[in-house]
Amino acid sequence: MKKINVDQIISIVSKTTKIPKKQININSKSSDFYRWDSLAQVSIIIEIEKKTKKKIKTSKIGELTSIKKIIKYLNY
Amino acid sequence: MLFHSPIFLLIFLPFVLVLYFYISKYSKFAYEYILIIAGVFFYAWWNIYLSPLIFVSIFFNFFLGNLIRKSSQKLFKKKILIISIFFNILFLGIFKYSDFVIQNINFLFNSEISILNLPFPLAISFFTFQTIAYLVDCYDGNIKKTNLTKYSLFIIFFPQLIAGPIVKFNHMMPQFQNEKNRIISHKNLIIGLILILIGMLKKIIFADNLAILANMGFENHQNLEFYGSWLTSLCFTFQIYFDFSGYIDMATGIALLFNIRLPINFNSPYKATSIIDFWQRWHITLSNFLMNCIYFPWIKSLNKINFSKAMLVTFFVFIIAGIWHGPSWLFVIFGGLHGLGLIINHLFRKIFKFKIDKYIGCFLTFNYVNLTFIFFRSDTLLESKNIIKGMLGFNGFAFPSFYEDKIYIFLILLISILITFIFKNTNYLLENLKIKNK
Repeated sequence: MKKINVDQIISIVSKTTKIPKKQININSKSSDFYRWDSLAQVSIIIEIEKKTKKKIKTSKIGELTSIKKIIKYLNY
Repeated sequence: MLFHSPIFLLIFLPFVLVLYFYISKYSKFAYEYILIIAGVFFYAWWNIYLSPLIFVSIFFNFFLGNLIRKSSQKLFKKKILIISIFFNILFLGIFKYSDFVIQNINFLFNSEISILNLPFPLAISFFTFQTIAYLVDCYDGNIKKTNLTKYSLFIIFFPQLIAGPIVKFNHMMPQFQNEKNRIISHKNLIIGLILILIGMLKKIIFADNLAILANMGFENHQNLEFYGSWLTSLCFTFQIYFDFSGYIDMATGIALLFNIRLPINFNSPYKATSIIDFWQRWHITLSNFLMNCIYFPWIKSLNKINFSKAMLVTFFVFIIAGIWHGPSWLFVIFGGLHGLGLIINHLFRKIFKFKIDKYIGCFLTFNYVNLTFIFFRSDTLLESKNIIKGMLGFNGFAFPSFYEDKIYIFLILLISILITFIFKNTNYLLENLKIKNK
């Protein structure tokens, strides 16, 4: 499967939450931004599923709350 | 057997602890049986005749969990998951909500169905949610290896059996299985004992004394004026905090004696700056359960997600959270008010682009939470109404005479406020002392 890179995830998070791209980096996590809330979290996951064609387990949605965690989950 | 009772602290806990570490030296798997037997004994102590219910739940759910785990057909897995969740909710419903349902049917249809007066099995709300989380994990393929002994241990581990935290299988099992955790750690022993002591102080000194004023206030709700109403509501708000967080401290401390680290369940909730923040700090494992097992799957199942739909789901999730606390419309109101608070909070974030000052946010959030706890504690809607009226000054401003010999509780309330808002919490102690746990 094609590996997902950090920029792709940052773009999705930025597009979904309307947080400027330059404010997000590899170390960013949901608690850093009040706009990355539970509703945004589901939208991010759905967008990632669409873009990557990879199904994310529902029980993992609440755990994937940082760029690093998302990358790790998608690439392993 | 309460955590702060002498029989638990002086006989049961030391006996299990010594047996656990002593036998673990000689046998690799005996620890599982020791903790299971201890859990069974602990549970049966409350009511031996009702204790088989937890075994029925364990056997039934282990069997269904295995069916889900071992099947390769997605549709079959999904059907079994739905059936198993349905039966767990039914099991909880029969014991906890049947009389509530009958009373409402009688009220609505003018019928005279007799109430069942079924006994309420201890911890049923907690182990039902924990079980559902396990079944969802089985469905999602998160549980690779298990057996009946491990599953039983996961459900019946006595430090968290009665009032949480609601733990996840994959959080607990690696800790139980790690052989290093079966060697006594003096550091964990000391920190565990400190946590038990802190928990006991919270319960005995603060919660139990604040309960005296809170109970007096709620019993005399018709006569409460401004000061009495505020005192009553504040005393209960701090009573429930010290009761629950004291219990969690004791549970965390007891588990730590066995080198097991329970997940954080409280993180200074009254310092929350919004209702969203409050639910990320208050009963965290319940919030996580609601998010992972109800909110996210529900939202994801919608055809198109939009703000209104998400807010509606949020509201219903909090109605469920409310009624989970007990079979009463007042708990539904409690949940509904928190759902409403979250919607207002989300709307504020959506409409206004600025962040509210954290002290103002904390003040508003605390007062809103304080208001919702009036419904949580009241036995009737009239009680809540009278106290809220009193707090708004509609009942006058005289000081109630029955508080006069309870002046020392005012001091306890004042110290409670200082501790809650100024001091660091026990999680800080755990983080900074770097608990030995693999």
